[in-house]
Amino acid sequence: MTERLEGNEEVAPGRGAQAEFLVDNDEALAALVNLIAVIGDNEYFLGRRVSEWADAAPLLESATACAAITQDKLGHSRAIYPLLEELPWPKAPTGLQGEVDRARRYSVSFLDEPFPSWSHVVAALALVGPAVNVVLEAVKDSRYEALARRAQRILDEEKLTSAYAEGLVRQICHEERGHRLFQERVDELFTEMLLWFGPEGEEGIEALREEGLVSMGNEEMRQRYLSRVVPLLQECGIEVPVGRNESEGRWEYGELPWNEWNQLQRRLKR
Amino acid sequence: MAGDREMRKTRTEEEVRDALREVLDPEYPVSLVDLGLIRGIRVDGAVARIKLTYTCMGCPAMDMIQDDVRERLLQMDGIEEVDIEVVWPTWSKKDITPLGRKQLRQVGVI
Repeated sequence: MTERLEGNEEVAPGRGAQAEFLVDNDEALAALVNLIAVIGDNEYFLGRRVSEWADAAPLLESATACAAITQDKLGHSRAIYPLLEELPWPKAPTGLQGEVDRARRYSVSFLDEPFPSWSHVVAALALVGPAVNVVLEAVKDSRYEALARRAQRILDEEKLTSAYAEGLVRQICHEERGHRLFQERVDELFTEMLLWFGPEGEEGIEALREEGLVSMGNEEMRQRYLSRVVPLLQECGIEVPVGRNESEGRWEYGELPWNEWNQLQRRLKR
Repeated sequence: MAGDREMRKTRTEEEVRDALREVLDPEYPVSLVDLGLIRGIRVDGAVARIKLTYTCMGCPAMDMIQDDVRERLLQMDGIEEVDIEVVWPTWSKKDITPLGRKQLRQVGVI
């Protein structure tokens, strides 16, 4: 019997379009390759970390949900990674099939290690998932159609996961102990997610915008993210270091520790 | 005298589609055509070019479905090669044909 490993070319031998996409602006092309690696790795490691709770979640239903979410996330990464090979960029990162395939990770550091508690799973689904979705929204009308189509399809599939993650937040915050543990996770992760969208006016993102490859700038994505996640957290009594400036219609979050952040890999330096 | 290749029948796209109506989804007794997974068919001589999508991006039966497509089309006289391109347009229940919906209702799925 032939052994078939997860995610290698033996699985799903059908090919992508193999159409070369050309961008004259090298800075935009480099940023596009980086963005694809970032989306792919965060989907991959989110799936990987959630998978480790598919036989350990608090309820049978949540364990089953973990398995389903894993299937989605790994599927998303498997659809995204081949784009790295299609773009005309030398030494683009390779797609991941196993955790240690590549030394350099383009995922948030919160996903580095197996989650030691259920509150980590809830935090990742409630805070990392929506961030990736905001970036997918920024590329769903991209001039790079292969990415745009995948982004739209992932967003279609994410609707259920988003609703489920919202329910998990309400559920864990309902009990005092769950609320306390979830607050601890939010404290650990929230700043990294604010950094994740990059400094306002970041050159790579601006180059992508000029080329019609993304539709939002760094701050627009961060504000959209905050509008999505903060109201639920506050409703559940979770404290976050942001405030709403109603007169300017934006979220204020103070100075971010950019010196602790790796811009290329979009993760905290650890 | 015409050679074997010239004698061989050139298949139409509709014939290829009809053949794919015999390829069932591994989970439900509904064909890939009626599930709305076949998104393009082109026949170039002896090559059948198929655009295929899945009901979800993490479909665990991707390779099985592709193997089944290849196996069925290669049984057709005149098809010597099957080229499958995986595409990711939106897929929803609306893409299932009336026949597909009827078959799914019969097995209690929708």
